[in-house]
Amino acid sequence: MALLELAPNHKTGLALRSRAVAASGCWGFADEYAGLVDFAQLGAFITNPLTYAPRQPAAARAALPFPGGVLLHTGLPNPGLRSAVQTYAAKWARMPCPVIVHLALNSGAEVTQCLALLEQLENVAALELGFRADEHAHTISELVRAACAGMLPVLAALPFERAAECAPIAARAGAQVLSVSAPPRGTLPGPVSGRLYGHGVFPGALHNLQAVQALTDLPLLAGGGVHTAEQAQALLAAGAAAVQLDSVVWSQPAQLPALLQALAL
Amino acid sequence: MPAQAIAAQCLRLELLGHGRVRAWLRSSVRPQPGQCMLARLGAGPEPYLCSVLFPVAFEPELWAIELAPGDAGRDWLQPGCSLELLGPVGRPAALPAAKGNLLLIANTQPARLLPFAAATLAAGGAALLLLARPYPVESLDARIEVRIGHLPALVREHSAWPALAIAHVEPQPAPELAALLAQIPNAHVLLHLCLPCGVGACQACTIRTRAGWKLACTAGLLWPLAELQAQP
Repeated sequence: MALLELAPNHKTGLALRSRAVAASGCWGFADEYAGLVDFAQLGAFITNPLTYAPRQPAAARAALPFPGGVLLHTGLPNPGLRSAVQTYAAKWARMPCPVIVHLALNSGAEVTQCLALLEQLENVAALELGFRADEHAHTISELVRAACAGMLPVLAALPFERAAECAPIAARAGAQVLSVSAPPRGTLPGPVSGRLYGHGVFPGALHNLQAVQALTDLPLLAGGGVHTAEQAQALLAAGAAAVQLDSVVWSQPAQLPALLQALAL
Repeated sequence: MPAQAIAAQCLRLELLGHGRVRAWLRSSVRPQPGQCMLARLGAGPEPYLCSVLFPVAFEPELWAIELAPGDAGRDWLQPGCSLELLGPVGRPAALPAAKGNLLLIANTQPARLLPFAAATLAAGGAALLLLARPYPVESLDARIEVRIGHLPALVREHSAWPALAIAHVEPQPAPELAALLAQIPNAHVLLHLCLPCGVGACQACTIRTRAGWKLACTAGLLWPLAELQAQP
């Protein structure tokens, strides 16, 4: 079986059986979509964001459809990594594709504590670090360096609005893969601000990928608004090693077989 | 039962008046009262998210949804159309015994409450539907009494009558209405929520209950009002 090595510079690597990756924030923490999607056709599954401590939903949470997409402001609620491990570790171990745990952390010390938990788990093959849109460069560097001190490959999820600015920072800090797929932020009348998903995201995602690709030789995991096989192919042609599928799983689940087929190795 | 992809077919349409249409669907799995299905109604890219389809009536092997003017799929859905459903979303309603007086309260989507009225009427109870705006009432079971007007005033007038009340108000009951509902024993709310995923993945439908935060799409869309904490 053909394999894609996403992290060739890492000691253990990150081998994928497909170029299709389930994006953080859209597919849940584990097997929420198991009744609808054959996870064996995914190269990897990236969990919803997990923080070190439990996190409550935002007080003013919202899911607001707009033409061509949806704005989501959830506050990224999650049970915290320790509780998540208790709840999901067995499910992660049984998943037929590698699991990449997405972490939204505040300090190197938190990263170190999370590594101690994650490195014990079966089928957790890597971690993806997420950053706030206004994350300070020093913090990005600190988080990536702390993560790279562990045994798992590290993907740095670049903020959409600052992808080109943050890519060299994450690369210098040691990230093995750059993830150019974080959703942009936007505001709708209300005003309500949050993550944007939908058809309109793709041009910006492709633009970001081209900009980052020009700055680094690291493998790139790209995504953002991919709804068609042609869009997925365009990201691969622009230098992506693999493609993250995000809200297409909500809006057009019937498109998934064609997308998975287009991204098969 | 976890949400799954289910093929469905539209078998017939009924015109109800006021531009509303009832579409009868056949699928191997049907949503129960209190549950819904998600589906794309139409081949175009809009609306971006799947439509939320609550059952409004049941026949042997069939179930019906209701679409109003402006709803996605109102002009697309025709007899013979195939749909791919995702669901069932939520949990079947766990309500007190259906016999007795049932008060239903709705503004934009009253038909979603009709399965509860049907159960009550079948058990020998009575149903009263309070509406905030006109609706083709001639399409309703003649045994359902209907009042149309200012919902808080109507609820205040009838609050002593029901053994059970269910409200389905978009986007959620206003404070005055919520306070009135809270005085009714056995008041329930059928939540009116945007459901991007329907499987508990996107975290968009979090609700605050006395037992903590829940995802409505997995924990349920019908809640006793007393178990819900005020939503900010």
